[in-house]
Amino acid sequence: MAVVNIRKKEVQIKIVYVGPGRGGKTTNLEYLFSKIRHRIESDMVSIKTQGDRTLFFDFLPFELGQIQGYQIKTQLYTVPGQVKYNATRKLVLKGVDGVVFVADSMVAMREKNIVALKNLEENLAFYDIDLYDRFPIILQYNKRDLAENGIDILDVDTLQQDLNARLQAPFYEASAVNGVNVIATAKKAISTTIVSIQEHLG
Amino acid sequence: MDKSAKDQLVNDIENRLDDFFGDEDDPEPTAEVRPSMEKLKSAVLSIDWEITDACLNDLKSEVESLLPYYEKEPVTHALLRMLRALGGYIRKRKAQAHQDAIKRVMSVFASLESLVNNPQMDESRRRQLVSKEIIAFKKLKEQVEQRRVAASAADGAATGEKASLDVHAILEHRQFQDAVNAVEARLSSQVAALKAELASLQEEIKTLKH
Repeated sequence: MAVVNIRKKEVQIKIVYVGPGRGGKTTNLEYLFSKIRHRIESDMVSIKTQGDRTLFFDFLPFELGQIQGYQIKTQLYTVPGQVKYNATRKLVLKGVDGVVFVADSMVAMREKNIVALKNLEENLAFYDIDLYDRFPIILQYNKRDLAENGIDILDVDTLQQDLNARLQAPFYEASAVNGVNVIATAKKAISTTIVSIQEHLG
Repeated sequence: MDKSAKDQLVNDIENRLDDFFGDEDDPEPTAEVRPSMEKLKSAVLSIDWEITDACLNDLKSEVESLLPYYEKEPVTHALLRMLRALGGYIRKRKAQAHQDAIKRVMSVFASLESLVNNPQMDESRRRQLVSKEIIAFKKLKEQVEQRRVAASAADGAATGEKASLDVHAILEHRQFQDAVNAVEARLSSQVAALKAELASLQEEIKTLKH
């Protein structure tokens, strides 16, 4: 849950990027960092394996500025996508306020997307969060650019049916590697999360 | 939080985000894509042409893929469920299915298509459409049941006649009896499933009326 300091008029929100391994979660954060690094004081922290895959997590904190008198501190995280790192994923999801689910549009990744969403549902349930009960989540269908290279990608209808039929969440078609819709996804995630926090606080 | 406060908050957040992230294009989320009815239509028309497992599997999977999208639209959802029930019945009985079953599939699909393609249709007209389909569905169910009872009686008579000719022959054909029993059990389960579907639809209609 968000950290709200009424006295200091500060709200700290935590948004976690989840999804199957090699889906583009870190690429999302790296692109965001490249766009905002000149205006933030903090750095992006990444802990990677030798194979350049996220071992623990990526962490990008920044201060968004004031909204309705409150200073908004945002923390973006990614989790490792590989199935075997579930303990890490669960740990990073502790205290999460909103989620960006980065799905891989490649046909070959269809099953892994579904498994990753199911895993998210289970990990959130561990913290008594019901993914399907108005939890702030944005879907990003990443790697749309691969079609131009002749790689088979899932059509949006199929992705929607697989991942969003029940959630009915906002979704973006994106190409994180080219920065397409990366910022739009982050903006929507931040906005949806803040509104959700405000609604919870009454 | 009331709507105006929420709108104001959203507006403030968006302004702040625009300032923070710069002037990058900020497209709206991809518009909600309602699944097309075309694939379902193609499955329905295929059944009209030829009843095969492939066509019936297509019908089932298309209906099941559409159901989650219409969970919050009870009338459309009811019609989809009716299609699923009819498809299930035809799948089990195939050529032995009631001659009106396919006609029902066509009619239910036509109503469904009409509902989906006319989102402005008023509520009374929507209810009227689904009521008409439910009445016809109920009638079909009764006819299926009558056929089942008649078939059971015929089987009984045939068995009796055979028994009077040669009781030992029947006893020796126990496999035949098992098969008859299996067919009867299957028919009963189909009728029970149709009854359950009908009861559920009637319940939904009641809810809609209130």
